[in-house]
Amino acid sequence: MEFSLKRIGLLIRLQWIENQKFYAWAMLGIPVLMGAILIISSLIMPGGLTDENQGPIFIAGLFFSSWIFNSLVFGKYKSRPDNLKSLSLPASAAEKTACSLLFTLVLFPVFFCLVTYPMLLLIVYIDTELIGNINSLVEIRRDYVLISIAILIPLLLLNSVITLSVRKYAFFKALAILIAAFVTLNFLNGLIINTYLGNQVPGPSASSRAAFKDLELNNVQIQPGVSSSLFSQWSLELRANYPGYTGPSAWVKMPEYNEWLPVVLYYVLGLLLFRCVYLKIRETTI
Amino acid sequence: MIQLSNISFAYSKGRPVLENLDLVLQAGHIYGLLGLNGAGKSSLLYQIAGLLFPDHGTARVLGMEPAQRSIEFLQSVYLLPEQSAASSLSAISYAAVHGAFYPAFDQEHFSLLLKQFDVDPRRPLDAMSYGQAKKAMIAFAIATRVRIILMDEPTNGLDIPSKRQFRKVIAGALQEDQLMVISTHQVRDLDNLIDYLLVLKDRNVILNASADHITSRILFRNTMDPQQEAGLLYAEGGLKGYAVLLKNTHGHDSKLDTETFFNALLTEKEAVLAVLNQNPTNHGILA
Repeated sequence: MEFSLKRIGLLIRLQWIENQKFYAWAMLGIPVLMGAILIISSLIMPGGLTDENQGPIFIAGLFFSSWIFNSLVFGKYKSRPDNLKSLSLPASAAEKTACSLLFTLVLFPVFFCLVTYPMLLLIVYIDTELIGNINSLVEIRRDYVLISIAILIPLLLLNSVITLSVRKYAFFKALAILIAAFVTLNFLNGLIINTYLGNQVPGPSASSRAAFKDLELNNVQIQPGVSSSLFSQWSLELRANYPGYTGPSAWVKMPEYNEWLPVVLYYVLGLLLFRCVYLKIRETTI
Repeated sequence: MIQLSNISFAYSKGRPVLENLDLVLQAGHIYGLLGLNGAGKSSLLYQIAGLLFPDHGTARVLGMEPAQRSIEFLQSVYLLPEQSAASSLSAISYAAVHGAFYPAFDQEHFSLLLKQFDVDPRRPLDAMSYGQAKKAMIAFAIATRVRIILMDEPTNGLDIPSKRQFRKVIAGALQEDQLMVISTHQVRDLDNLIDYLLVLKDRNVILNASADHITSRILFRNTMDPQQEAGLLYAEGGLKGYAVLLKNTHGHDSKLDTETFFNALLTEKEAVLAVLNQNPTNHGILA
């Protein structure tokens, strides 16, 4: 695989210089559009622009605009003159993939946050000072940011693969495929779990059992027919272990020795999607 | 330099564009690729440039496989398409940004060519007329100094003085280790420019011969009465009588009339090829 940081630099420069007008318009258009959405929300939503409303609107704007940008960047492989120009450019498929993904997965979301956050500040000020709602700026929570990034990256990678794979109306087809995949996977998840586990629910974990015993809750029935799931070995963890505990409060817990699995699967998924984008670009013809 | 062996290609099943095509092209020549619309000229260029992959057969260009699109390959081959992607950059900025990818790119030569073509280097390419933008892209292609330049219908959209300028520039641009393939259906545009002629017909190259070889075998002449001419192969009526192709049995000199020759090849293929193939030691591969 041919890979040179110098050529990556040249590709970034090319992408930036060739699309300067687009970025200039985006710098104006995105905050204006987000400002309009935030103002409308402030006027029509009960309580105005509460911190429960600000986060989802901001994240939805980030996801939607990143998705459109991603479709535009990879959509150039659908137009014959643009495709011909991209494929003929002396840089490897890996370098072209890396540059496109750098722009769509990193630079654009950062750009969105930089141009939209000041607008959010302004609209919250208007919401409070002029419209009369009593709201403050949403607190940026690290876990929310990480979850958003963790969802955005595979979503955009998947969109890149779909955009490169279909010939026409890539954006709408990607949207339809993602909705279909989401619905099907959720339905299938339920179906598969139901098939294997039936009506079983996880039983209490060892630590929960000890806690039940300490709290003299040996006879607590969490659900009728409780038994540990042999298939998943997930268990029920008692949460309340503080003095003055008034009732059972429990959560389903994955066995500790299996916690690495979803993390590994997540990274494998990301790498696979990156590989798919790379192979699609390498094998694209005009 | 370019070797295609038994290449077959189809955009869709059952409708082949190229079939069992063999072709060898050498450095130091300008090849004119002629064919009717839809004959597969662009597809052939795309195969050489690695933008389309053959269904069967092998392609080697400068010892590399085009389909791999290695960096060395992409730095050695430049394809000028019939329709370039629109760019809002000026010609000079375009060259600065794209030229950096070609190690031998000659910025001074590019500026000189723009001047010769009378193209404003500071004007955005998408604000230029089609012909002006095309000339800027032709200048860029030559300034890359790559070893293989493929041009797909480069004279489309050029006015008559620009076509003359194009011929002049191309004639002086080729280095010994370079090769140029110019595809066109406007056959007359290549007069006095090409030294080898490739003709695509029926999904294959039916002729690959040098201009010298063609004129050594065939005499090009204008006459008022073609029936009086000995060894007549083909006659085409015009305002000034008939343009005729005769067997050149006495080794007379004449100038290759590309358009008439192309028409003759399309209508009298067997007779024309038979004359060109008479001497097995000729240079060029004839179908």
